[in-house]
Order: sequence, then C-alpha cells, then structure tokens
Amino acid sequence: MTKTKQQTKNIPGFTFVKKVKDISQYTLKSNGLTILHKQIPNTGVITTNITYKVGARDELLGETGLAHMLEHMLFKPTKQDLKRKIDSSAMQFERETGCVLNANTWKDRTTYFFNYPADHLSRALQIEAERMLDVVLTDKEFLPERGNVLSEFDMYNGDPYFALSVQMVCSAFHSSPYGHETIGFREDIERYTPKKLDRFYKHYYRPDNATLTIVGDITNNEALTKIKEIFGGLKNPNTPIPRHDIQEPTQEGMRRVEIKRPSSTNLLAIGIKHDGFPEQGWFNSSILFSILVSGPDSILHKQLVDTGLASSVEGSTEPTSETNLGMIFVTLAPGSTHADIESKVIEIIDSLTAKDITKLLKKVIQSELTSELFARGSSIQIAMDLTEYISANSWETYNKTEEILKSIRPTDLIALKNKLFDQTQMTIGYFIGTK
Amino acid sequence: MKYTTFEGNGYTGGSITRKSERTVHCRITTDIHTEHTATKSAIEHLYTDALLSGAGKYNREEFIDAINMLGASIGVSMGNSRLTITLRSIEENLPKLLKLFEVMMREPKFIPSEIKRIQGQTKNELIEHKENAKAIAQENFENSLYTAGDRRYTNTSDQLQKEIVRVTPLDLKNLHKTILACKWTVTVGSDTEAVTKIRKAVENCKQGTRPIKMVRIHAQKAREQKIILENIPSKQNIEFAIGTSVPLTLHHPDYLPFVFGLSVLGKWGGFTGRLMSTVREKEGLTYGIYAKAESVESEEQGHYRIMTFFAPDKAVQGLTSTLRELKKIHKSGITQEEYKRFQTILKTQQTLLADSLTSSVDTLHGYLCADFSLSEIEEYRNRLLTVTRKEINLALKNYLQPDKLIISGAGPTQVIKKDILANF
Repeated sequence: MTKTKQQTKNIPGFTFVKKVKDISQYTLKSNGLTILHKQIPNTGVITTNITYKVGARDELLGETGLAHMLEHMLFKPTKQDLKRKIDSSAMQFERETGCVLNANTWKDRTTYFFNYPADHLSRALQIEAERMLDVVLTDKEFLPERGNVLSEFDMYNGDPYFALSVQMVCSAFHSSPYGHETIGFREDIERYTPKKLDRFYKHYYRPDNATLTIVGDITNNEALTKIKEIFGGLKNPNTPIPRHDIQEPTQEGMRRVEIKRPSSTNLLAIGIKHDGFPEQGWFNSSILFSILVSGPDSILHKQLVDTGLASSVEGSTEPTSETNLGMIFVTLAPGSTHADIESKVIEIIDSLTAKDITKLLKKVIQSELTSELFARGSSIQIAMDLTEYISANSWETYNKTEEILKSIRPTDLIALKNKLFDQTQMTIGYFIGTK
Repeated sequence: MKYTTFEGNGYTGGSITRKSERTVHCRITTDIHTEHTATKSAIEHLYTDALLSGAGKYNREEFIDAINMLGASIGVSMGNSRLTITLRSIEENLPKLLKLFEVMMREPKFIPSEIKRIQGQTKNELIEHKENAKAIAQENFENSLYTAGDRRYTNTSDQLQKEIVRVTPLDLKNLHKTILACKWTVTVGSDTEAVTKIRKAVENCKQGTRPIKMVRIHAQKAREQKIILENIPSKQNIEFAIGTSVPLTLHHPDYLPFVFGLSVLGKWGGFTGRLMSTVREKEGLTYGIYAKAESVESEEQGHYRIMTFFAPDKAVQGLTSTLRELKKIHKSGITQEEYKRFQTILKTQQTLLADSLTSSVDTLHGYLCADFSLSEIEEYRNRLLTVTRKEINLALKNYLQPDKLIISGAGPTQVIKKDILANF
C-alpha cells in the first residue's frame, strides 16, 4: 500500500506544534488531544498507541495498582458495546481481524496499542475514542478480571527478583509515589471496587491527558482527518486533573531490606537513586549500569561471574520522569555470602577510575546506537519506544539520543558513580533462600 | 522487501533485501542431532560460551572487545541440538564483524582455563534452573513424550552437573568439526551487498570441510495418560504443560488443519483463542493460556502443548475448565464462524510481518531450516488459509486425544497434589 500524498502542516481543526526529524506533533483544537504522527510508507501496516498520563504514581494509599487494574478494564465493554450487544469492541477487533493489541501500565503512564493492516485505521481509532470515556465498570465485568490481575500478581511475586524489588522501592522511598510497584499490593487488589475504579477513570481518562501516536503506512492528512472525525466531539470534564505534590524526604543513611523464602536462590540487590528520564543524568546512569552489569565484558560480570562468586549480574534504571530507584542484582553462587558479595561490589565500584571505564564506555555507546537503529525499523517498536518520552513530556528527545549518548565522557560517569553510590543514599536488599 | 534464495558449498539460504537498509540481521543454523545423551547435552551446553571465548590471535576478552567496539553482536545458542548463530550489525561495520565471525569458526581456541570457567558458570546456572518452574513443567512434559535418545529429551540439572565437569577441550573441538561439516542454513535481512558479503564469509568458513550425513534418532513414547507434579515451594503459581504427542510431520496433509484448529483453541499470544476467552476472560482463572503444535519437523513427529499457570487454590478449577474446552473442541470441532474468523486472523498475521525486517527474517529462516523453497512457503501459507473446516475438525478429532494427556505441573504442588490426582 503506497501513499504518495504530500505531507501538510496546516490541517483544519488542528494546531501544528512542531516537527522533529520525521515526527510531527499536533493538537486537536476542540479538546486538547495531542497527536504524534510518523509515516513509514509501503508496509501496509499501522500502529496506533494512546498514552494517558496516569500511572502508579497517581494512586492513593490502599489503592496501589489501581491504574493497572483500570488498564485491564479498558478491554471490557463500553456503553456503546452494550447497545451493540457485544462483549468488547477492543477484544472483538482482535478476535475478528487478528490485529495485535495490548496495553501496559507504568509509574507515570498507561498505554494502549493496536498494530494492524492499514485499512483498519477507522476501527482502531473508534475503539480508542469510545473507551476513553465510556467503559462500563460493574462487578460483572470487574470480578473475573480482578482474578486475572491477582494471577498476574502471583506470577510476578513468585520471582525472587520482583519480590525483592518491591521491598527495595518501599524502603528507598518514604513518600514518593514511586514507592510501590505498578501492579500494587495483593491486599489492595483484593479490596478494589468498581466505584474506586470509576473515580480514577473519570479523573484521568480525558482527551487533554492523552497522546495519540500514529506510526505507519499513512499520511498525516489522512490520519488527522480521521482523528478529527472520531475524537473531535469528545469533551474534557470541567475539573482539573488531580496530581500529588510530594517531595521525598532526604535520605540520611543506608536502608536495608530482607526476604526469606524456601528457595535455593540467594540475591543481593543494590539500589541507587538516579535522575528522571530523559534528562542527561538518566542516560548517564543507564550507561553506567551497562558498564557495570551488561554483558560478559562488564565490570561486575568479570569480577563476580567469571570468578565463580556469582551466577549472574544484572541491573536496570527506570525511565520515569522523576528520580527513581535503579537496582543492581547479583545472584549468588553456592558458597558465597550476601555480606561478602555486598562488600565486594561496593569495593569494586568505589575503586573505579575514568581510565577503567574509557574503553567500555565506547563499546556500550556503540552497542546502544546499533540497538536503537534496529528498534527504529518497525512501527510497533517505534510507537512503544516513544511512549516513555511522551510520558516524560519530552517526545522530541527520542530523536536526540545519539547526540546525548555521544556526549557522555568517562569523567562524567565517575563523578556520577561517586554521587549515586554514596552509601548513605543506597538501599541494600537480601533475598535469602532457606532451602 | 525482496525475497530470494541461494545455495552454496555446504549451505543453503535466503535473504530479504531492502534498498539502502542500514542494518544487517543474519541467522545461521545447523542441526547436529544424532542421538541425545547426557554427555552430548553437556558438551552442547558448554560449546555456545566456549565458541565465544577466544579464537585466532584473540583471547576471550579481546574477542568480545573487538565485537563490542563495532556495536555489533554475535549470539550463539543451542536448542534441541540445533546451533544458531545470530549476527547483528550496522552495514558499515559488517566487513569487520564478518572477519571476527570467520576467525571464530575457523580458529576457535577452546582453552582449558576458559573451559574451566564455563564449567563453573554452567554449574551455577543449572542450580538456578531447578527453580524455573515453567521450564521444568515443559521438560517433564517432553520427557514423558520422548525417549532418552530423542533431541527433545532433557536431562535433569543434577545429571548435567555431573557430565559438565567431564567435558574436555577435545570434546568441544570434535563438536566444532561436526558443526563445520553439517549443512548450514543462512538467512539474511539487509541490502544485496550485505548478502554477498555474508555468503562469502560462510563459504570461507566451509572451505575444506566435507559434508556429512547425520543419522538422527527420534522416537516418541507410546501415548498414555499421566500426571507429573514437581514441587517448587518458593513459587506462587503452578506452571502447567498439557498435551500429547502428535504423529504428524510438517508435510503431512493433516498438519496444517491441525495447526488451524489449535489456533482456534488457544492461538499463541493475544486473546483470540477459546481458552483465553473462557478460562481467562469469563472465569478469571489465569493470566494466560495458549496452545500450539511444537517440534513438528520435516522428518520428525512432534506434540501439541497447552501452556498456562494457576494459583494453587484455583488449579483444580483451572484444569477442569481447560480440559472442558479441550474436550468440547475435540467433540464438536470449530464452528463456521470461527473458521471464517481465523482465516482472517491468520492472514493478518502474515500481513503484519511486513512491519519488521527482523521478524520477517526470523520467519523465513524457520521455513528455510525445514528445507522449504520460496514457492513452497507461499503454497504452505496459502494452504493454511484454505484448509477446509471439515479437514480441521477431522484433525482435531484424530490428534487431540483428550483421554491420553500428559499433565505436567511445577510450582507449589504439594498443597494441591491430592486434589489434582483425585480429579484428573
């Protein structure tokens, strides 16, 4: 399916905001919906992705995981579906056409996407428009889905890494909304009600809190014309979008957590607080973590795994808009103790110099740039990758990562390392297998 | 995207090319299976890391450095005695990556000190594996379907730990010789220049090798109903693998009707299958439940497997619902509405491949490994969309065998063992 029409900036009903490389941003004048568009001609495939700026950070105490539960409910019937006497338009779309659909919730955002042959555009947009405001939240739909969410919770919680990371963030943050995992606590999930969900839904699901991304085999003109037709009549509530205004108290010493389970796994976790995404500091932290734990030539892999002290090392930084907890996990080899490995890791990181990491930095950046090039070859991958930038209010940074990565110097990372791995700011976790 | 196939000395392959494509994604696979033993399995376990642990003038560190400085990667994996090497690079670094690939294949070192390191690491991984409930449920399931000489048989972690320490550099060198001599299947996604360069590198690797014919053992056990439960108390859910052997090969006329029917039952991924609609959506018993045919080859018969998990307190109810759906589709087949709908679904699946060069290459590679030509691939895809409802329902009737199922569970099974054994 080849589209040859000229891309135009000024389309009635929209405000053109900006274009960075081949991605354009518009706002739908009638309700403030943000639209991003990128054309990939000749594939016959489109991905649409709608991101709401609502996630685990917007939840209240006792309601952790509510954003994620609501994400599940958007695959249930809408008011329009009840009139049509069907289960759910979203599910029916997949069941009738075989399009790829899914959703995910994270700390700052909730995202829904469809990947489908280009001739289904109208249908995909219609579903997103209807479920933005009209999902029916009743016990009949909610109770079986809560069972699924509990099953999902148990799936994650059986994993020692997940169980330990839940305890780590709880301890690392005392009032920050990042102090609980996105899926929430089992005890909270068991106490959700349709009423709680409905309140949350009405607060955050509205055109002026959403970004609709369209990537694929379609011109901006065709896409925007269709968006105006389908989303143009949606109204925002008159109330403002509720947001927590919280400042995490200063940490004044190392924090520790411990889990014991009848398992043969033994884990050490080291948590540090890194900058929000997509600030330069976040990229620096992410690259520092790669140097420490990513691949067989990383520093901790060589010193712990190659020497037989550990089975594996891994780590991650969170692409959230504000400071969050990055974690390094070390799976202990039989015979190693948590305390010994903890001392060893801290000693290795403390002693790192710019000279030690110069070559590794070059390799990690090269590898990142290649990975990005591969990730930018399919509409679904592009739309998914853009999501984190959208939720951090900085989608244009998606097109600047090469520049950001190439600007990182070894001395920057050593200075950062000294700041992040200051022991008074760290959180240490032990998963102790008692089997 | 343009599809082509090619053939050379000791290898066959294909490519998907796009003008001005900047990335290169290549898969090379060879099948070394003859007869599975714990010793061979241990050697294969070590080989993948050993191959990347030094070659020619490079020691391990220098070799990994050289690859990473290019921002490229060479991945080596082994599954069911099939070795797959994956090369990924940007086009301008491909020549340098291919030089490293050639050195790796022509002059691997297999240094004793490196082998010792890998033995230690593998042992640690095998210990960790004992708590991988999903993998254990599947391994126990497949071990109930295949004899010990079959490629799908898996030795226990304890058996492999004993064998790992006995592997010598000579064992690895001998395996490497076999790998060089076996036929390779090469699939490339990039532009035409990259394809030429990769073919040249492959020919350099194969130079001087003599093709060998492998005699392969593959044997399924007689079908029987069986429940296997492995207790892993640290887990929250019980992982299940449910199914039985299927006496079909890829080209058997019943295979595609059976695949179509299994998609209706539990299409892998997404929410379209009957199992997802009922066991998950209506009854809320699990987060995911899928079914598919596996390990069916051109010359080897395979099995079908339902993959799911349940909380211990929902395991009996979950299994009851799963078996109800299985028996229902076995008895009554798929409806005309499902038949039409899944024709569209399967067609869409093929259309969406165009969205990603990497996925297209991986799909093509799968076909080429099974010795399909491009026209046969086309024919095969069309056949999947044109099998009749009658053929599908007959295949489901003949091969689902709900009275001869293996039910393999791994997780906190102790608390529910009695109930499961009493109910199924």
